Parts: sequence; structure tokens; C-alpha cells
Amino acid sequence: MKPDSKKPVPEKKAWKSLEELREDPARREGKADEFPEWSASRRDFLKLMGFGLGTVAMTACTRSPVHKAIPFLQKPEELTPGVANWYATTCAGCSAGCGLLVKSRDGRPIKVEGNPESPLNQGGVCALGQASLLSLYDGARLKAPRWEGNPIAWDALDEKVRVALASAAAEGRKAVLLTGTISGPSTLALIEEFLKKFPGSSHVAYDPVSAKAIREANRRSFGAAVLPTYRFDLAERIVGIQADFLGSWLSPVEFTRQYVSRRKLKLGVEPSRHVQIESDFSLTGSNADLRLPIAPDQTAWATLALLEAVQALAGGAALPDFPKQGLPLEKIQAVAKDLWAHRGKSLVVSGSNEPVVQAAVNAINALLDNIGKTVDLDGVSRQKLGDEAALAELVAAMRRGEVAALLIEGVNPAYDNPLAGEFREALKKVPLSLSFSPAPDETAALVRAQAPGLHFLEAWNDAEPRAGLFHLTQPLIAPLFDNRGFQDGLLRWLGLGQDFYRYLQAHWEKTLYPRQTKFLSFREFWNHSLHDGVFRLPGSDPQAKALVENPVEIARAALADPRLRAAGAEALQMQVYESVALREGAAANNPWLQELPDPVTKVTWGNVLKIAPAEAARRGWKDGDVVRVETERGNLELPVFLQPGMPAKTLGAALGYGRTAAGKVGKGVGADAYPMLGYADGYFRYAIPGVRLAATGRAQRVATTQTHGSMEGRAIVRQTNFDEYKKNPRAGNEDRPKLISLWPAWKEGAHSWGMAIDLNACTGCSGCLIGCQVENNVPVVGAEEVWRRREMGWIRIDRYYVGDAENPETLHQPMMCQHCGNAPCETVCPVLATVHSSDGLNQQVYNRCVGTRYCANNCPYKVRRFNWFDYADNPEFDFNLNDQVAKLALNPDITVRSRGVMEKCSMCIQRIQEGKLQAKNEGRALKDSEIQMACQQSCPGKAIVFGDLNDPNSEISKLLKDERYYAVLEELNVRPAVGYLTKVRNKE
Amino acid sequence: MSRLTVSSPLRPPQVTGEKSMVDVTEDVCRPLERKAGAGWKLLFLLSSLTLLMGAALVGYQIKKGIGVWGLNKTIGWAFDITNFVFWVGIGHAGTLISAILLLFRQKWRTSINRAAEAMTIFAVLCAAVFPVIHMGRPWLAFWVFPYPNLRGSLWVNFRSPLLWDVFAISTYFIVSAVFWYIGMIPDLATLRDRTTNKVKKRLFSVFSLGWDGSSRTWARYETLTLILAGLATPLVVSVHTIVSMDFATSVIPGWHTTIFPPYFVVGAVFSGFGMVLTLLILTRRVMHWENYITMHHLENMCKVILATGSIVGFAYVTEFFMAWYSGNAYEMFTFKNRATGPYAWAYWTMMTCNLIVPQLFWFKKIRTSIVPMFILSILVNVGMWFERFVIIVTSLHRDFLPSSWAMYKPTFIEVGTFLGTFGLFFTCFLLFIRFLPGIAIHEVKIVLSAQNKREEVIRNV
Repeated sequence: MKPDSKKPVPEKKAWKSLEELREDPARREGKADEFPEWSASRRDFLKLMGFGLGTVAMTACTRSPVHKAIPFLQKPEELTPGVANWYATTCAGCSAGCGLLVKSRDGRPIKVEGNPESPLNQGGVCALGQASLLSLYDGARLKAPRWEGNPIAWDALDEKVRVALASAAAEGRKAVLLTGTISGPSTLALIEEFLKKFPGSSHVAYDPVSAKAIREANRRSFGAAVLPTYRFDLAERIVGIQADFLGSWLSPVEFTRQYVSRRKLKLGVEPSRHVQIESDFSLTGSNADLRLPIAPDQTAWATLALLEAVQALAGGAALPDFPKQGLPLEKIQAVAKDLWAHRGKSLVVSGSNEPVVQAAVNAINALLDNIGKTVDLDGVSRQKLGDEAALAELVAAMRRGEVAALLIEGVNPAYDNPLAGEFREALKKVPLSLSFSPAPDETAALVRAQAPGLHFLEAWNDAEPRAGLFHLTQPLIAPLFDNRGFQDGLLRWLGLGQDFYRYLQAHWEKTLYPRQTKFLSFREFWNHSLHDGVFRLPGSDPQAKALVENPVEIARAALADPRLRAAGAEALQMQVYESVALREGAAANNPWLQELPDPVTKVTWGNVLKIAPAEAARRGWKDGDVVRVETERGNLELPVFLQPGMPAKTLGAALGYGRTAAGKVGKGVGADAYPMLGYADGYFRYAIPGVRLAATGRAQRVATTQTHGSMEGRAIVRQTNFDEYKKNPRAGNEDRPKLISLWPAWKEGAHSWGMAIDLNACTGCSGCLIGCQVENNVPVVGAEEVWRRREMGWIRIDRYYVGDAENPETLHQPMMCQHCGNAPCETVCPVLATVHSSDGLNQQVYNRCVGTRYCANNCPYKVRRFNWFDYADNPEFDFNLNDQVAKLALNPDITVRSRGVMEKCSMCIQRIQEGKLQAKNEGRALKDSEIQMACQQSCPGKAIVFGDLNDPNSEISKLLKDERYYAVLEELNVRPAVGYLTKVRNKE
Repeated sequence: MSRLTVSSPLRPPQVTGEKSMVDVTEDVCRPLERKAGAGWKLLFLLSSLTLLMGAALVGYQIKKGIGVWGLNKTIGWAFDITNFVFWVGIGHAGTLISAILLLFRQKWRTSINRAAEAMTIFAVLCAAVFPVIHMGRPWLAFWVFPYPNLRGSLWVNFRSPLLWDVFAISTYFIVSAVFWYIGMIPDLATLRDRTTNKVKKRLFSVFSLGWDGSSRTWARYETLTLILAGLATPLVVSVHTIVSMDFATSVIPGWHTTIFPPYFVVGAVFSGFGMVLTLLILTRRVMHWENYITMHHLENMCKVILATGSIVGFAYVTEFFMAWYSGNAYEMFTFKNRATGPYAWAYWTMMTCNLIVPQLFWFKKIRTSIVPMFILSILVNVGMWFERFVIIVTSLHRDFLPSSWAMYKPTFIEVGTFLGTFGLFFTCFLLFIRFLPGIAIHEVKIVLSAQNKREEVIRNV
């Protein structure tokens, strides 16, 4: 509307240009664009004002996010900004259920450490457990419930589930709760109530890496289908058969602690002798005094050979003849003799999921009088109680359309088992499928309803890892997203108006409180248990059990089993194993674990096909050549990795990789080996016979952190054997150089920090690597950069091979900044960015560093790490430091380094400072071992000792005088503050 | 001083072609007063484009981080410091020729010293690029200077050889540049007097500092030159001695060697002469200066190359012997690894180019024919580049702990940056021969006058 246009042009016209005066048409058009003329009438004005007021009023109604940064006016009790609190809880990283102490700063958990109160791990934690912190802050987590992919409110979801469950019960169709092994008594009680409420419903539990055969064998051998607990600390002779008990089998932290307690040298006590019979080259095998590589199909026969030899020594009946080709019989007989000499003080374990093998192991342990001594069938383990046969039945029932509702918790059945393919198909026939997974996974991607549960650091829970040992899980932080615990969901659907915290407390009050006598009120009992994280019922001593099945029957059963028939020496086979970092693969989206080098191969970011170097050479393959593994159950493409110590015709591949739905970090890393696994007669089989290999002609970069495995004859890891050590404690460590200096010794201040690492106690488990990474905000750099040899880890574990490529001895050596007294790095820095502290530390000043890298070049230990790029907030390094949520896991005491600066182990200077300040505040001197390094605290074997060298009574000062003590590259006279104790094996 | 010297009639003439004094001025100045030829333009385009590419790559590297290079946790220096030492080495010939040969009264240096000095300055410029860009945070490069600051009493580390480098290189650059400029003043005055271009006239007037050619001016000029020669002489030795200390004072086997200072200095002279030879063979051809830069000059340089090459070769052998004789397992391994390890190809390239190839200069035929001489001069520089590469990379890539052993492969960025410094070098050099007298006119005239006098004497006899 243009009111002006109706009016006549006024007589006296004002004009701005001749064109305007002439009323040039071109000019008019241009003018129209220039200032559109428009004036509002009264009505328009009112309209506009109304609209404006309305808009302002409307926008004022929306809730904009409120960012609060307000100091505590009323400070919550026990919470001081900048001061950390520690809470006890329980690890849910694997089924072992280790006790944890979690550090919380300003309301957020930032570090996971072992709980010294827990009798299982006694302060140690593995890499997976420590890294589970980052899974809490995983930005890829499922953040709210969804129905068929669309967001839904919890109430609406609950209604749908309740209706589905009710109609299933009414129709007589099944409702199934599918879980992993649950050991928590409260959760189990709740599940029981749930099953009662919904008749026809059932609970199915399975374990991706199953221990069913052990239970089955125990049922046959001793009449009790239980998973025993083992006492490696009481065993003077240990035989492991296909069991990576230091790396991934059952309860590796507990086993490592026990094992190491027997390997540390005490005066006059012989360390245990460990024989490992295995197909894959495992971490445990790398620690063995004698390692006997066998093909996977020889497992049963090697075990029987050991049984036969023990049976002969025990004077039992001879076993029927069984195939013995290619077995190291002489060595097995010698091992049997040694075991026999240590009856009651030895232990044979097997990780095989063949009941016959486990039965044979039981027979050996029984003949050796180990039952009730090193094998405890009374204080049994509550881990891995799942049954894969139940899963198979469930899949069949699903396929037949009998299952109306499937609720999935704690497992990823569309990925983590050999039946995953069938499961995915059968899932389509289930009307209500629901996943409680807190993070995206293959199952959650397929189900109808996502009801994301909680990370264990957000949840209340309990666990009973071993009969009579109870652990509590308490939340360290309110749920980060709109998630709800799995148990809270069950409670809601049961119609109980409780949250799980109350349920848990009530359950403890009802069942556990009455069984103790120490506390007079439940509140006291609860607070105490919560504080310690542990409650223990008094147990009885384990009892010996009589063997029901006799060895001859076991041998007959093995001979009768067609699947145990040897495939022949020329046939290729594959042993599939759990990797130390990722285990079953649930943590695949955790960049810390993806970049954690495998303790043996040192491969990061993906799995590889381990192959004996001779076999690879025969086929003309080198590291990284991608080959196709063809099995009966399907094909798998993996890069080849030449692994010394692999049996000639055996391949090894790790589980846990090749995730298709896991988040940006874990998706598509490596290849999925689960479909290759066998399932037969109710057992998952991890040994795959009849494998064929075909070259693909492609090659892939394998990101390893160490490419050279020989020490080149240098005395870097010094080792000896126990008999030599007995004669001379200095054995293997004779050639320590006499050091002289032109200059007066460095004047130390009040302290002189030092560290010693017992190479006999270090198994190479790599927990310290994650501990250090979490504590010191060490960035993740990705596969490409690791391949370029630019990993940033401040501590690494060097792995050296000694001997032949067929079956080498392996040495592990943690290596970090040695804090040299005469540090070569310090003299060469032009800007004094690396300097010596008065208490003997070599310090790196990030702010001053200009990045010449001269210090790194001049470091004989090559422990300095350079920030080649910006690793934080850089989309090219799309890992935890580029994720706003994951950055909550950063340690606020530590700078995030910018690009272009050097960094390295600081000897956890923030911990030293904290310890010093605490002592000062309390007006006392520092106590020895009061300050613990991050690597030291979490070490399951307690291989690392840190302390003040100025204090003559400190543990470190005593170790310095030990005959086994030496420093690496001592002859350079750099005077490292970090030293090592020689490795003493106990070989025959 | 040199006007009074008389050279032996048996010596070959320094200037051939019966040149008169006027001819010298004309021959040197005329190319500067003509328009640039097509050859020059093409070369200039090529080199400035290469320079531009190098600059772009450096920009990219500074934006992204040093990670775009092929370095890793084990090998912290490779192309960067190799190139640095290479260019510093090349920069050695100029000062040696103009200072040491001046003090030793080597007349044959007069035709080549100007170009060689220019080359020195440009080479040091190229070298100076690397210590800056190799830093993780090059924008803080000024921190290596001990300047008063407000960061407490933050000072530099006087124990660090890198700091010594800063002083050595900057001193060397300043003294060389002053020496070069002072030496050019009489010739700038000549150009000033000849030019008709107003701008040039103005510029040359300023930079010739009012040169009037009086005896007093000449006397002062000669004194100053002598003083500067005296100052520059120790620098010839000190710069590469200090550069060698970057390695010699470290603990890394293959670096930690007392032979390095003399070995590096001789190597630098060797490579410097190689580069001068390459450049002058081209320049004399392009600028038609065959009568000034005669075969006699080239042959003399070949002799220097032969001598220094032999010394360098001797140093290589000595290193090997010492590695064995020391009984140090790490040292022994490093040298074995150099000769037989994964970088053996680099080692043998170095040995061939530096030890074997220069021995061909024993043959007069080879050291007096242009083509073989040219090829050999380039090989010498290839060899010397590899020498530094071998020292740096093969020592680092397998040092004490085998767990950290790694391999190094340069990326396109590193190779491109190295080429870029060649672009910088040739751009500068082409500008130099285009706008400044490439031959020291007045010095050649002195030699020529002595030569003419001598010929007169011979004729009279």
C-alpha cells in the first residue's frame, strides 16, 4: 500500500539530482530500490506494536540454558573446590568386579584407582577398568529413551513396555530378560521378583567369552557346577593351558596380584615356576618360565598328556592311547614331575571352553591334591555364570515367534557372540525389543526401544564377585544425560514405587545386615560398607573334594569326541582371544583403550592376524599385508602381523574389534572375529579349525609403538635364573660401571625423588599406561600418528624378545623419563625450558618451550614426546579432547599442552606437591610411600616403588642397595633417578 | 698493498684475452646496463616460483604444526637440520676465499671472490630459515636471544650449543655481509659514474658512500678490508665448529665425537667450493666472463675440492676406526648400521660423492674440462647433503634403546621446503648478478696491471 501514490505531485518539488528533476525512468527504478518508501498508518502501527509486544512476550517464555558459576555460599560438607574426594565403588569394566576408589574433583569423577580394601585387587586396576572413566564421558552415549528411533518420554516408554509385558503374560508368550552374568544380589533379587510378576518370563544370561566348560567339568568331576576361585599366590608351580590369566582370563587383576606375590623375590623363597601351554602368544605366555606353543587342536591332547604323566606318577591306571603327534612330550613329562614334587602347592588352569579339557585339568588338580588348596570350590567365583546354550535356545524361540518381549542388559547379542547373525534375524520377530545399553551398540541400533541405562559411575549397584564377598557401587555423579538405570526400569514396570537405591539398601538390610555382628545399627553398617566399598562374610576354609570322574573316562570321552580329532600338522587353525585392552569389545569407543598397545604385539587401533614369521615368510607376506581368513562360518579380512612365538600353523586374532555401531572412535576399527567363533553342543568355541588364507593384494598400515624386538645384546633388561641368583644375588647384574665425574655432585634439596621397578613383578599388563594417561591428560593421537611413531604416552612398556623366533623369551620393561641427575636434555635446551628441580626431578616448562626437539634427540631413553599438532579441540584428532563431554575427564591439575611443545613424565609432580602440602598442613614430615605415582598406584603387581632417596629408611633407599638394582644405560653417567631390579626367572 | 707485488712470469695469467683496464670495466658493467636476457628471465621466473612454493609450504606448516613433516618421537631432526647444516656449509667458501685467501695473497681469488661472498650471504640466509621454522612454536623464536625481559629473570641457556649457533650464525652473517658490502664500494662508485638512470644513480651514490677514488680513500679502504679479513678469518673456522658442536656435545652415538669440529669445517669448505664451482661455471657462461673466470681459476678450485675432499674422506675413515677402537658397543653399532642398515644407500651415496668422486680431480684432464667439472661439483654437494643426512638421521633412528628405533621418511612438505630454499638462493643470486658487479672490478684491475707489467717485462727481455 502506497498512500503517497494517490496524491498529486506537489507544485514545489525538492530534487536531489538532475535525473530526479527530469524524472528519468532509469533513475526512478534505482531509487525505488534505494530507499523503499513506506510509512505506517495508525492501524499498521498498532498491528506492528502488537506483533512486537507479542514476540517479546513469547520469547521471554522460553527457558534459555542457565550457566551457573557461583561459589558455594553454603558449602556442601566435605566438598572444597580444588580438593579431591575419593569414593569407593565397584568396577563394571569386566565381570571381575574389582573394588575401586574414584577421585572426584568438584563433583566430577576424574580418576579411577584400585581400592586397597578390596580383597580381590587390593589396590590394583587393569587398563580397562581405569579407562572406563572415559566411557562415562563418552559424547556418543545414548542420551535419552527412544521408541523406534524417535525420542519418547520415559513415562510413555514405561507405559508401552508395561502394556507389552502384560499382553505377553496374558497371551502366554515369553518375555525374556537377556543379560550378561549379573553377580549383584540386589539386582538378582529384583530380577526374581520381576520373573514372578510376569509369568512366562525368563532370564537368560550368557558370556561372550564363556567359562561354561569349567562349571560343567566341575559338575562332572566334583558334583558342583561352580566356577572356582584360584590361589596363584599359594602355587609354587603353575601351569596355564590356553588361559591368559594375567591379561584377560576371569579376574586378571586379582590373578596378577596373586601371581606376582609369588614372583617377587623374598629372601630364601623360591619364586613360582610358571609353564604356559598355549596357541596364541598371550601376555601370560610372555611371562612364563617355560612356554610350550601348541596348535589349538592339540589342547585336549596336551592336557591329556599332562594328565597321563601325573596319573603315572600317582600310580593310577594307564590312559587309553591318544594322538600325541607333535606334542612336546618330554617337556610335558618333566613339567608333570615338577608338579608332582609340589603336590598341594601347584595349580593347573585352562581357559579352554571344552568340557573334556577342563575335566582333565580337574583330574590333574585333584591328583596333585590341589583341590581345596589352590583351587577353591567353596568360596566360588560368581563371574561368568552365563550359558550360551540358553542364548541359542532363546534365538530359536525368537525365530519361532515365541518371544513377545526381549529386554537386553549388559550384553550386545547382535555383535558379541557367534550367534549374532541369527540373533539379528530373529530379533525382527520380537514385537518388543528393548536395550538398556547406555552407549550405542549393534543391538541398540536394531531394537524397538532404547532405554539407555547408566554408566556404573552414575549408578547404585552391588556385586558379589566371589561367594561371601560383597562390593557396593555408588554414583559419583548424577546421570549426565536423561538416562535411567536398568534396575529402576524394572522397578517401574513392576509397579514398585521405589528407586533402586532404596531397593538396594532394603535388600542389604534384609539379607546382609543380619549376617554380621560388628555393627549395631543398619545405618552404621551401611555407612561403613559404603565407605569401604566392601563387605565380607566370614568364610570357611576350602575343602578338598573327591574326583567323581576318573581320568580314563575323561580320555575315552575325549577320544570319542569327533570334534577333538587332530586336524593334522599341515592344517591352518586360528585361536581367537580377548585382547587385553578391549576384551569383549564393549569399550571399543574408548580412545584410550584403542590406543593402548597390546602388551605383546604392541599393536594399537585394531586387531591383526598373528602369524608365525616362518609361515609368513613362506607365503611371502609381511606386516600389514591384508589377507582373507576363510573359515566354515565366514570370512574375515585382517592385516598380517608377524608374531614370534606363534606355533607354525596357528593364527591368532583378537575379539572386540570391527564394531559397526559404537560411536565415532570405535566404529570400523579392526575386524570382527565373533562370527568366526564356533558354537556347538552348547559351547562357544574359540579355536577355529580348517582355516584357509588368501592374499588380497592390499596392505594396511599397522600402528605399532615398537617395531624392533631385540635388545641387540645390550644389557637393557638384565636377567638371570633363580639358581644363578641363589648362588650370587648379583647374577646378571655384575657389570655395573664405576662412575666418576669431573664435577662436584649435584646438591639435592630436602628430597631426592627416586623410583625402582621390579622387573620380576611387572607382567607388562599395561595398566600403568592408562593410569598415567588419565592422570596427566595425555592426548590420544590416532592410528595414523601412532603409525608415524608419534604416540604421546609418557610411560611405555618396552617388550624385548630373547632367543629364537619360534619360541622366544619375552621381557617387559616399563620406561618413562628417568629423571637423570646429569640430564642430557637439560644442557641442550637453548631457552631453559627443561630444568632440574632441587628435589632431583627433571622438569619440563611448557610455557617456555619453543620446540627445537633437541632435548628429545639427546635423550638416550627416547621418552620425550612432542606435540606435533594441536591435539585438543582439533577436528583432525576427533577423540576425547575434541569432545565437550569427554573433556570433563581432564585432570584440572594438569595443563593441556598446546602444539609445538615437548612433554614427558613429570614424576606426577602434582601428586608430590599435594603430598608435600598435606604434610605441611598437618605439620609433620612426609611419610615414606605416602606419595604414590599414578602408574604405581594402579599396578596390580605393585612393581613400582617411589620415594625419597634422602631418607635412608625409605623403601626406595633400601631397594637402591639391592644386588638386583641397576639403572638402564648407567654407563652414560647420566645418573638416572629411576632404576630397575633384575628379572629372575625360575627355569628348570 | 698489492699494487707492489710482482708475480712470477711462470704463473698462468689471471685474466686472458688481452684485456685492457677499460675492457674490464666494460665487460663487468655492460651486462648490468643492458636489458635482461631471456635466459635470465626464465631462470628468475623458475627460481622465484620455487621460492614462492617454499614460502607457501612453510606457511602451511606453521599453520598446521610441525607434524606435517615426517619426524617422529625418535627422529626429532632430519630434513630441517640437514638443510641447515648444508646451507651453512655452502656459505663457507665465500669468506674463505675473500678473507683467508686474501691474507695468503692468493691472487686468483680476485675474479671469484665477489660472487663467492654473495653466495655465502644467500646461503646463510637459506640456512637461517631452518632453525626458525623447525621450532614447534616459531613465533617465539626470539626467545633464543638473550634480551632483557619482564619474565622474571628469564635468561637463555648458555650451555646449549643451539644458543652458540645463534651467536655464531648471526655474527658470521653480519661480518660476511659487511665484508661483502665494503668490498663492493669502489665498484658501486664505478657503476654510479657510468649509469644514466636517475634512480640507479641515486642508489649507487648512497651506497658508494661518496667514494672519490683518492689515494687516501684507497688507503683507508685497503686498511679496512684487511681488518675485516682478519675478523672474518676466525669465523670461517668458528661457525662450522659450533654447528658441529650441536652434535658433538650430545650423548647420541654417531654424534658424540671429538673429530667433528675440524671434520665439519673441512666439509664445509669442500661443499662451499663445490657450490662456487657450480655457480661460476654457469655465471661465466651466462655473463661471458670466460676471460676473467678462467680455466686457471676453475682448476684451482678443483684442487681445493680435491684436498678438502680427501680430508673429509680421511675423517670418515677415522670415525670408523675410532668406533672400533673405542670398544663402545653403541658407537660401533651406529657405524655398522650406517654402512649396512636401512639407510646404507644414503651412506654409500655420501661415500661415493665425497670420497671417491673428488679423487677424479687428480687427473688434469678432468679438472680442466668444464662438463666433468660441472657434474662433479654437483655430486660434491649431493654428497655433502647426504653427509649431514647420514649424521643426523642414521644416528638418531637407532640409538641406545632398540624399543624406540624408528624410520624416517620425508614428506612432500619437507622436500618442497628444501627446494624452496634453492628458490630463495637462486632468486637472490640472479638478482645479484643482474644488479651488482659480479666480479670485483678494482681487484681484477690490480691483478691485471701487475700482469700487464709482467708481460711488458717479458717483452722487454
